[in-house]
Amino acid sequence: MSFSTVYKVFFKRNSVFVGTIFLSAFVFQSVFDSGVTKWFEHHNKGKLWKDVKLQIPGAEEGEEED
Amino acid sequence: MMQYNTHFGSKVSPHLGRLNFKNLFFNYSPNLMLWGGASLVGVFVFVEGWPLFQQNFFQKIPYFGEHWKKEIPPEDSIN
Amino acid sequence: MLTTFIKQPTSLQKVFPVLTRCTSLAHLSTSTRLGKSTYRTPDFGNVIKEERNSDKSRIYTYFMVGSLGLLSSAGAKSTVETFISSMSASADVLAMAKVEVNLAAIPEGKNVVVKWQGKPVFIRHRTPHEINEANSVDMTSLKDPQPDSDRVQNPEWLIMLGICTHLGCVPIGESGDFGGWFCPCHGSHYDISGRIRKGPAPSNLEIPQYEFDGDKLVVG
Repeated sequence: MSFSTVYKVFFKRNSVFVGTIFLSAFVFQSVFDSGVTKWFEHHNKGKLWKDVKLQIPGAEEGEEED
Repeated sequence: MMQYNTHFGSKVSPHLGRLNFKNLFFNYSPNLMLWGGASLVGVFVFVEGWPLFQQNFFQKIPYFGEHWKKEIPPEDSIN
Repeated sequence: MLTTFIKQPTSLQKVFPVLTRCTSLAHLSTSTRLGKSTYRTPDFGNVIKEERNSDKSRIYTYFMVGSLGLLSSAGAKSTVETFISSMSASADVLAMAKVEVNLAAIPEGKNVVVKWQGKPVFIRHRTPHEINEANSVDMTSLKDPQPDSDRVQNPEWLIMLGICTHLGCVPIGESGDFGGWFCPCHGSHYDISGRIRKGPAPSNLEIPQYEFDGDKLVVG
């Protein structure tokens, strides 16, 4: 795809330009969110509730919180 | 004073500045539709974290919608 | 052409008279070089593009503008969302948002007070006589007219917030002139449907959201 095609498809009409920006912002948000979450969970492995839960005996049944 | 009436009078079609019904439909509508789509996506950007929209729209996106599905195991859920 | 240009004193020559002297000297000279322009046209040959297509630099610029737009809209959204979500209830509040009551333990004609979100909730198991009494009240005699059917889901059970609508005291059950509740602070009397009948309170006792789940009552 030549540069002229890219220009004509994405940038020439302002509505398409703005739409593309919003669409990629929408995609970017969730990708960024899951990326950061993945990194955070990797960084704090072993300290998170889902890891700690497995080490508590009898946590599977009848959990009582006070 | 005589009054002359003729059938050939000039009339101005309804318009708003440069806009009239004809060019609104034939020239502007594709662009207006694209703007509509762009603003819809713009709204989606801003309501991305809203559970109502997540459940009704975002979770139904194929493959990509998995991101909004949060599963809390029953023993961890409140109530 | 050049000479006429030189003869007119330019602003530069006014400032620097020496320039005028030089040019007038040059005017006297008969050298043929003066007939030609002494300006040299710079050669831009080495920076001119082969194919004169500006779309490449153009999409670079637009891409940068678009990326800025992308990041700002995502950032604006996240900022707004942070402020708005700070107003919503946190998980510990949500955990306390509902309370369950076992209705089988409440005999007919008894009051039970439970705490829900820090507020008392009155639960009354009404007798058929009391239900009749609540339904037979003349609407025009009420300060805040509301039929009993609007205040209960199941006429046997009256569930309402135990906060006096006057200044927020907790009324006392099974007392007052109308057989319902009586607020000791300023003397508001509520009837068996929790409606204000006498005293300073402006409206009926509030009804919380609740639902019946078999023998259980879930408030909230």
